[in-house]
Amino acid sequence: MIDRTARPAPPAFAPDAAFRAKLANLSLVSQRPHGHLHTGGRRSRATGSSLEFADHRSYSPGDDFRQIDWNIYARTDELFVKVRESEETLVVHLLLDVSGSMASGTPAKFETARAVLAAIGWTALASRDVVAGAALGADLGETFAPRQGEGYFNRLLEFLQRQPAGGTTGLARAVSAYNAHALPHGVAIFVSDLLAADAPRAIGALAQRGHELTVLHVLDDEFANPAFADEVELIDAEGGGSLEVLGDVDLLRAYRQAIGDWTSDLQQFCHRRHVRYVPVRSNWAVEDIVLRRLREHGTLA
Amino acid sequence: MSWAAPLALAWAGLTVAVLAFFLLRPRRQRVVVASLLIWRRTIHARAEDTWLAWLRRHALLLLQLLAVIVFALALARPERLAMVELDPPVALVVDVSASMAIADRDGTPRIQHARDEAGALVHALGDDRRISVITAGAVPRTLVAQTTDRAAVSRLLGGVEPEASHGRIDAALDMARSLADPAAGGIVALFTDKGPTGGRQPAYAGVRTVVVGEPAPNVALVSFQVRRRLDAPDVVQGVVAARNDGSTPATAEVVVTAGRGTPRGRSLDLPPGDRQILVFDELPVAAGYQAEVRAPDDGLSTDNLAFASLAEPSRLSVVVVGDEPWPIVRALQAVPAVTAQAISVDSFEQDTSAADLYVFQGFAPESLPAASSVLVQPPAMPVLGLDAPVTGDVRPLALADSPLLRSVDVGDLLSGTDVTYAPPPWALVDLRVGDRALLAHGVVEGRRIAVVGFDVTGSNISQAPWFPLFWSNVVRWADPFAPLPEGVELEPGRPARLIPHPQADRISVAGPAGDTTEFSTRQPAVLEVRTPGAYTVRQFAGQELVSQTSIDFAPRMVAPTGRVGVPVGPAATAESSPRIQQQVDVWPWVAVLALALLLVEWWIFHRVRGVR
Repeated sequence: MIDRTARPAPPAFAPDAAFRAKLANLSLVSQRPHGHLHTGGRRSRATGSSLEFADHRSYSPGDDFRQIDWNIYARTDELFVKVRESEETLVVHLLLDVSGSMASGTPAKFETARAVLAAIGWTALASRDVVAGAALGADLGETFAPRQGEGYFNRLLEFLQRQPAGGTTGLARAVSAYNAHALPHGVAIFVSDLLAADAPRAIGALAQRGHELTVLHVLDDEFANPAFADEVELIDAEGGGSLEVLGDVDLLRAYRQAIGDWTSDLQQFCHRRHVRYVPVRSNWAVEDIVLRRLREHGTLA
Repeated sequence: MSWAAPLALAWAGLTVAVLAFFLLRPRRQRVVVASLLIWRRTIHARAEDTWLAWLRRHALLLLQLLAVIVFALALARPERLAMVELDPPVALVVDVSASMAIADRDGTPRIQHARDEAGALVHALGDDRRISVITAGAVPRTLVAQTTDRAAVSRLLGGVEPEASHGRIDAALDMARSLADPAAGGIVALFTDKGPTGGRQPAYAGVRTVVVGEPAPNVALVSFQVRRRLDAPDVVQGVVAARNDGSTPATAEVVVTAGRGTPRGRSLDLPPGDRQILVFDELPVAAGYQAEVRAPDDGLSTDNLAFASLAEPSRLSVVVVGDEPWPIVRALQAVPAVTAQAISVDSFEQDTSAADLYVFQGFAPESLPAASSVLVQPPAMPVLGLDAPVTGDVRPLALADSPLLRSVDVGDLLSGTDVTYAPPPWALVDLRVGDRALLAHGVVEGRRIAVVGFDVTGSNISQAPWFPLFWSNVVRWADPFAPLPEGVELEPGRPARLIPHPQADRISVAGPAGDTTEFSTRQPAVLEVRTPGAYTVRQFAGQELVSQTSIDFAPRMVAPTGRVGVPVGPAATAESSPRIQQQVDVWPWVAVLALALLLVEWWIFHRVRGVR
C-alpha cells in the first residue's frame, strides 16, 4: 500500500521556512511587458478579462454582449461595452550550468547554483509567475516544463536535485536548443561559471531571444586565487587535457590578472546587451546572494 | 687557456647524477582545476615562445647542471697566458767567508748581523716579492730561488753559518744577478764584512751592499811555499805572503817553524788592504814546515796558519813498448825523476819488472798491467771501448785546462798521419777532431790511461820543442803515487776524489786535526775537505805500504780573496716593474661563478618558487 502522505525530505539546497518567508516578500523584476496575456499575478498595459475595470467604449458589432453595460444603456439608450484591464503572466527561466567544472570549489559551485535557483524559483512560484527551467551541459539537458503556482515548488526541487554536475561544456549549443523550444520570453536567470569559450555566445543568444537576463557568474576561491608552489600538473575537470606549470610568483600574479581581465570582459559584454551580470563566489551565503546581491543588481525587488 | 689538472674535468660526470636525481625526483603534484581556459590564456600571454617556457620550467635543473660543470672546470684549474706585472725579484747574497765568524765587541758575530740585516730587508719587502738567497762561500750556493715563501726565507737565513774558507763574492753576485738582474729591475743585496775600497770601480752596478761588523784588522796568510835553494840544496827557502783584509792597520809577526825546530819570526806592518811577502832564507831541511801570522786584535785566526812540505819528486819507472820507442824514450829522459827504458813488443811478454808507467806504441797488450798506461796510436781495443783508429787531417780543438797540454801549442800538433778514436765513455777528451778524439785521458779500474792519436814516429813531431813538455805533463798526470792528479788542489767545501795506486786496496787519509778516514779502493774514494792543514794519504796493498803522500791544504783557500769593489747604498732599481708572460690561475674566478650559480639556484628555489 502506498503511503501518499509520506513526502521525501527536502534537499539540502532547498530554502528553509524562514528563508522562504523572506523570499515571499520579493518578486522578480520585469522592466518591460513580454506580451503574454494570461491570467497571472502581474498587471499589464493591455486590456483583458480581469475584474479590474478600465474604461467604456461604444459598442461595435462583434463585441461580447456580456460586456454591454446595461445601466448606461438605460440612462442614455446607447450601447457601451465595459473595457477591463488584462493581468500578465511572467515566465521565469531558470537555467543551470551542469558542466563538470561546476562541481569544483568548496562548497561546489553547483551546490550554490542549485540553492540560488531554488530560492529564485520559490520566489517566482509564490508570485504566481510561470517557472521553466533547463540544465545546460554539453548540450541541452533535462528541462522543467513551465509551471505556475507554489504547488510546483517540490517538483522544481526534484528537477534541480536530479541534475548531476559532470561532462563537458557546450553552453552555446545548449542555449540554442533551449531557445528552439519556443517558450515565451521573460525573465531568465542563468547560473554558470562561464568557463567555456562559447559562454559569451550563449549569453548573447539568451539576450537576443528577448529575455530579461541575469547572469549569475559563480566562481570558487581555489580557482580564482590558486596557491600552489613548485611544478604542478593541472588537470582539466572536464577532461580538457592537462598543463604543466611552474607555480612561481610571476605566473600566479599573471593568472590572477587574467582572471580579472576575463571577468571584466564578461561584465562589459553583458552590459552592452543589457544583461545583469552578478559575480558571486561559491562560498558566499545563499541568502546573501539572493537577498542582497540580486536585489542590488535589480533582479529581485 | 690550458688546464693544470685536466683529469679533474671528469668531475663533470656528476651531471649524470644530477640528471638521474631529476628523473627520479618525486613526481610533480597533480591538481584538478575547474578549467584550463584561463591557465592557457595566461601561459600564452606570458610566454609566446615555448622554448622560453621550457627554459623557465627547467631553470633549476639547468642551473644545477651548469654549476656542476663549472665546478668541474674550476677543479681542473684553468690557466691562461697573460702579461702580468711582477714586483722586481730580490736576491740576498750573504757572505759566509771565514771572517764572518768574527765577533764584534758586543760578542755578536758578523754573520748574525748579516742575518739580522737580511731579515729586516725581507720584512720590509712586499708579500709578492720573489726572493732568492745565495751564500758566498768557497762554492757559492743558491739556497732558494725566487720564492715568495717568507717563512722559508727566514728559516734559511737563520741557518746560514760562516765556512772555514774564503768567500767567492764575485761568483755569488754573478749568480744573484742571474736571478735578480738589476738591469731588469731586480734588486741584489749583499751582506758582507768587506767594506768598500773606493779604489776599484763597481763591477756590479745596482748591488746594495750592507757592511756588517766593526772596524778591525784581519791578517791572513795568503801563501806559504818552501823549496831547496839552487845554490845550496841542503838549505831551504821559505816564502810567506801575508795580507791585511781588515779596515784598520795591523802590526803582525810571521813565524816559520821547520819540523820541530826553533821558530823563526819577523814582524811587518800591514796597512788595510796591503799585501807583503817575507822570505826566510836559512831554513833547515825538514819533513814539514809551518807558517803562522800573529797580530793583536786580529779578527779571524782561522787564516793565520799554513803548512808546506818540500816537493820531493818520486822517481818513476817508465817502460816504452814498441818497435820505434826512442823518440819517446828520449823525451822521457828529459823529464826529472823519471827512469825510462825501451823494450820490444816481443820482449814485453817476458818482462817481469813492475814499471810505474807503460807506454805502448802502436801496440795493445791483451791485458793492461797494474800501472798507468799511455797508448800511442793503439789498434782497436774493445776492452777499453776504443774503436779502430781513423786517419784525419783536420784542425783539432783543445780542452781548456787540459793537464796533458799544459804549455803545449795545439797548432803544432797537426799531421796527416794522426789518427782519431770515438771517445770512450771513461775518457776526458783533450783534443777533439769533430766528434772524435785525438788525445784523451781517464781512469779505468784505478789505472790512469791516456790515448795518444798523433803520429810520434812517422812525423817530425818529436823534434818539436814542446814534445818533452808534453811527456812531462803525461808523466806528472800518470804518476800512480799521486792520489790527486796534477793541478788539483784541496779546496775547502769541495770534495776531492782520490785516485788510488793500481796496486793499492786501501787508502788511509790522516787530516790536520788528527782524524783518519779509511777508504776501500773498490769504491770511489771521496775526501771531504773542511779543515785547513796538511793531509797525509797512505795507500796499502794488504799490509804493505804502497805510497805515502802529503797534500797541502792551500792557504790561499783560507784567506779572503780580497775586497770586492761594490758601491754602498740604495740599489739602483728599475723605474718600472717588469711585465712577463706567465700562466695565471683562472680557477678562483670559475669557482666564484659556480658559487654564484648555486646562489641563483637557491634564490629561485626559495624566493621565486617558494609560494605556499
